[in-house]
Amino acid sequence: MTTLSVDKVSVQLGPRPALTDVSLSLKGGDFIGLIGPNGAGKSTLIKSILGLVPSTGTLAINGRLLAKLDAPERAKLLSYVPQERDVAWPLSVEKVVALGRTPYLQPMRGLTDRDGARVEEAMAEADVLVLRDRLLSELSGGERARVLIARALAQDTPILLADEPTAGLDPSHQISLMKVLAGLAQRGRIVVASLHELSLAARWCTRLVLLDRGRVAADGAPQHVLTEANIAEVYGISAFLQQSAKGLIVQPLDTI
Amino acid sequence: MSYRLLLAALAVLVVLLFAISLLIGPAGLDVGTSIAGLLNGDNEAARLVMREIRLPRAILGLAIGATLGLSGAVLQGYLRNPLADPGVLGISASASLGAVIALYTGLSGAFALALPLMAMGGAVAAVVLIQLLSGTHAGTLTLILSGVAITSLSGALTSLALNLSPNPFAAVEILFWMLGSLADRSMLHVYLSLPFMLAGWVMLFALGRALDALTLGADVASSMGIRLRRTQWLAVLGTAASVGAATAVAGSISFVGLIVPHLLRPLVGAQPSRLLTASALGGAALLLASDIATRIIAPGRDLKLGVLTAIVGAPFFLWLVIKNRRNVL
Amino acid sequence: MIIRATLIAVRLAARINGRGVRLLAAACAAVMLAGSMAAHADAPPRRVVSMNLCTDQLAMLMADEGQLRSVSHLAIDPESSVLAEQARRFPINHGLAEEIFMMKPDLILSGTFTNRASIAMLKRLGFRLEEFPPSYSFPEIREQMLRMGRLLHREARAQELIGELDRQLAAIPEWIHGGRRPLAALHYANSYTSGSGTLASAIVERSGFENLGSRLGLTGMVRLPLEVLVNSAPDLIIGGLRPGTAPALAYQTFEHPALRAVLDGGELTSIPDRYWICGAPFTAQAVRLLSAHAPVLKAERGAAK
Repeated sequence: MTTLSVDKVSVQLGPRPALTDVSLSLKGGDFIGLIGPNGAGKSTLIKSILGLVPSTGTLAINGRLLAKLDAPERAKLLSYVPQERDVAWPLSVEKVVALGRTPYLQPMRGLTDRDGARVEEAMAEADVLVLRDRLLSELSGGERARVLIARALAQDTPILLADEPTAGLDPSHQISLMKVLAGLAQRGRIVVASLHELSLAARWCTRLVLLDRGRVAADGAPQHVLTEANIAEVYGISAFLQQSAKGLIVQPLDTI
Repeated sequence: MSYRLLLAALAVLVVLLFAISLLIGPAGLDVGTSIAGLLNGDNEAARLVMREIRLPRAILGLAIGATLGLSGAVLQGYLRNPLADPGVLGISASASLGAVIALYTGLSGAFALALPLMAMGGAVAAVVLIQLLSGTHAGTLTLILSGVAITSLSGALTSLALNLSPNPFAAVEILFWMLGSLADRSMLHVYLSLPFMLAGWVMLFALGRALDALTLGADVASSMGIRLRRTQWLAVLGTAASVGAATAVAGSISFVGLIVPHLLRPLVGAQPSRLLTASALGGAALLLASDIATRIIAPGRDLKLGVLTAIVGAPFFLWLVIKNRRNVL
Repeated sequence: MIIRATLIAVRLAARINGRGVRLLAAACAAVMLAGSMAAHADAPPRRVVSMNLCTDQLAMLMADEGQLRSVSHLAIDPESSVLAEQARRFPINHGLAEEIFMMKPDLILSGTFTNRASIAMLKRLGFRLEEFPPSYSFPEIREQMLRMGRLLHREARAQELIGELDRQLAAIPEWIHGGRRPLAALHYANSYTSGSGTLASAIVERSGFENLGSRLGLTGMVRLPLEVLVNSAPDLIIGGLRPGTAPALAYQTFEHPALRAVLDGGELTSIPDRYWICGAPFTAQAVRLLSAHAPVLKAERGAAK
């Protein structure tokens, strides 16, 4: 089973610390929701795991230190779904998804049959097969978000990191997206997503990590993290909480 | 149209234009004499005209066109901006400045390689400056303004260098450096520039996969195993080497690198890596055609190449600005 | 820099020809004729100022002691002026109306291409101004010399100089051999050449050559594309108009491999510019220098056969 260990990771962005001594231990099957207010360090944590920002501390996958892996090796372990859904050029959905095979391509060669098969599977998993010939630039936000997940899936990595994948989507698209991500975790991957919608996080994630000013404020099952006290402490708001058959319902009420 | 078919069609077009370029000239040789002059040396005069005057001109037209098309495609892909082009960004203008300094101070007379090397130095300076001013996520406005600033400054310094020359002809030669020409180039110019252009092409063609990945942004590209630092170096040095060498022998020729990738992008499914080969061929075809046109429109008058490319290119550029207005403001 | 640019303008002007210029020259000549008739009756001019390299040199050759008061700055440039040494004895002017006004001349000599603004100003100020068009042929040189002689009241000296010119020319044998004359191409900066109706062409032809520009039907000073020059396979290439040694693209064709191949290891033939910028007695010197190349070529061709 895949394991990702984050040990005392700190990130300094400019004069202020963006992350301070963050330690987490993640395993295959986990669907981790990173929650916390704006500026808490959610995106920074994702980028530090990807190696996109310089960090101190130790990051290891299956016991191998990430710092010792070169870029293509790392790319076979970690894939990334960015918050921005713009593409520079009007590429078709299929071509965008196929970009996920970049780490596997041989020099001067195109996609192999095996690459093609992985692209098909990824499109099926993210439910974008019907969109394959459309241009990404013509799609709705929800469709684009799923295409970018399919792109990450085509990269065929045991760990997938998504930065605010549900931002700006309508409820229906939010739910279908969370279902896709939850399904990926169920099939053995580690899925990490930063989220602002606490109910979505509570409903679909197996585990939540609450960040507050660069530190881990709480870590565990949703009902243990999303308590009135934690929400008041970190977000500065009161909230209505109720356990239901479909999971915990969180309704923010007012600022304190 | 399939990608292979497109490349084949462009290649045929380039070969055809290359041949026409060899057959057109003020000496008015007939086709038979021209081919004989090119292949065997019986007719001394025809041999000289074909091998020493027209052949280098056609080779340079092809190579410089390919350089401009290719570097335009790379710059657009790398900066993720459809308005990038060596001319618009001021790379050609600053390469001109380097070449002018090398030539008019007599440096290149003492050391021939100084000409392409100084031009490349100018080009590197421009690319580095653009990077400093606008970064890789350049907004269109920043990018164009940087280009305007670099072009104006280089143009002014070029003009200054030419005016300071004690040679009375130097001052009017600013036309050549600003608009470019292939008239009366020789094989010496080919030997001086082609190796650097080839080296630049190797670096630029190596960028195909990275440019594809960059379509989704630098972070995603990096997460897919693209080494951004290496990509940046290849883009900077490849552009500088090829555009610098091209400018050193033909002056700065604008808009080829802008138009060609645009026209061909829809035909390759917008994929940056496929655009590279297509744009190189397209650029070669466009420049050969422009150079042929200068000889047909005004034979014997040394009409500057940049005049034609700008007449076609500038309105095209405006159209692009209008199309991209949303992103510009 | 400015001096050099002016120099070029003068040199170009000296070789330019065109119908317009011819007409202008004719018109000027008519006006001048009237003027000179009047002058003839008067006393000889005592304060003559020349503003043009060619009138400078003619005036220096003909003027009586003390008659010529100033020559132009180009006259002291040894590259353009045959009489540079002699010119140093005179005060120099730069063709500016103000400095010439201060010299209070009773006769101003200028070329038809000399600074138009200054000339218009001097005419308005009421000075007597005589304009000399460039000479495009040997008969025109003789006419100009006669006219200068009349203006300076030095007709005898003019006749003497014309006689000298004719004697020198007569000493240079005409190319009388049968068959083809050797072909000479004039090749200036920026691939310019002189066609028919120019002094350069007249010199080349009097030296025993056929001028390529004339053969191709070109008139005046025009561009001759390098490949046309090479394709014509001239026997001799005369490089000219190369002021200064600072590098410029204008001279790139001088080093072009195709041109070098036509020269077949030889060099461009160079006749000092000063001998053929102006039509004057020393124009014969240009002919003499150039004609020296003709027999050599003939011998070479003979050896080749």
